[in-house]
Amino acid sequence: MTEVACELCPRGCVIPEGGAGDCRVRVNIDGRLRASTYGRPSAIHIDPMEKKPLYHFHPGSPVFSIATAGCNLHCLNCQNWQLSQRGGEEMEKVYRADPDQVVALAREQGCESIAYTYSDPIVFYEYVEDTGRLAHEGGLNNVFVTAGYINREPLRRLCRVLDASNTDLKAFDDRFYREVNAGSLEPVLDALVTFREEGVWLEVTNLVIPTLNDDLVMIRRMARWIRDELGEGTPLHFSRFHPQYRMRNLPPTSGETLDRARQEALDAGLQYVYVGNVLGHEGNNTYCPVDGTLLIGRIGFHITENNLTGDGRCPSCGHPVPGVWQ
Amino acid sequence: MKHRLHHWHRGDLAFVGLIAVTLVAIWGVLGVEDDTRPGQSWRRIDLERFQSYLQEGRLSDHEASWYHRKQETP
Repeated sequence: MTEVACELCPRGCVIPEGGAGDCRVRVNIDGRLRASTYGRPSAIHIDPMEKKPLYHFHPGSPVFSIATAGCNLHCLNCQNWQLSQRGGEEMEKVYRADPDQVVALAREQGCESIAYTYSDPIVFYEYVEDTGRLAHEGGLNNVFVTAGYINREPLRRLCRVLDASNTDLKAFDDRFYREVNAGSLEPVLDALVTFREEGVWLEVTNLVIPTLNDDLVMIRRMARWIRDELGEGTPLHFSRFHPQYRMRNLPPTSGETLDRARQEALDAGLQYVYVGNVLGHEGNNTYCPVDGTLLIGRIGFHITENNLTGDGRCPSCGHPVPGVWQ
Repeated sequence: MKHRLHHWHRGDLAFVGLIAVTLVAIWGVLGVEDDTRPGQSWRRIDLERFQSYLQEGRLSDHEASWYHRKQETP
């Protein structure tokens, strides 16, 4: 009987033969660790880039999005728990799509990018890496939508094939991570810094949950950390919570709470602060931080107007807006 | 009453012992449930089902990266 020690994420699972990591999908068979969902996605969709959400990366473009079963966090409010909180052998629907087939399908469907998303793609790392390499060879971008609970070295290597990430920063509070997500804060902060250091376009999402992480003092500390460590031009998305899975006891986040959070982050010096999951909110749009010009108007995931110049500047004052626009 | 306060009886010791055992048990359960500690978490799976999915090709035996073999146990 040979145990294996997984080095991918901070859990560092030591897995006996016949067992799986905490993520449920990395399985020790005969003393070798298997990535059991490699090439076996359980979700395949075409989404707009804004759904990830990425607002400063190829706006309005369709993204070929895939996910497999499994996750290395266990959020009480998970919105994809039927996918993320199951192992591959518990899934009713499993597709067969090797990396070359994913790339071919994405191209066939007219997508410029492939997103690894829905569950946490950290747990299907090898699938992302191989698909990402082929996608680059085929001229496609790779988008990584994650909670960032990964060790630094594996992430650094993966960044070679990644172009953009939306990373969840679930709260600026280690206790919250332990109690709500079964994780911890520090590795996530490390991951955010690593994305920035490796030149991957980065946007951050914070799901605001009433009474649990809506404290304005904490939000201010989080915004200042983002400003100082990631840069004032890093887009931050405050997303509205809806009760689901094991957190049905709390109400949806109010518009006032989201407004206050957004204002706090703007006051802290962040230039692009958005409000998500609220249709038609002013915070869906991109404004020039210098003169307030409406740069990109959005309703939901749809772009209503795009006034940026071809090289991503404000048409009025010429201020360069950080992002990947072409 | 004064007599009862100043002298331990066998029943008192048993009661204190029971409290201590309960506290240790609670601490043990809470400690085990903290699955954020490195190396502490793995999961049993339905291995029979997993193997059959593997044979049917519904799952993959692709070797993972980022792990090392730890020890041979008899």
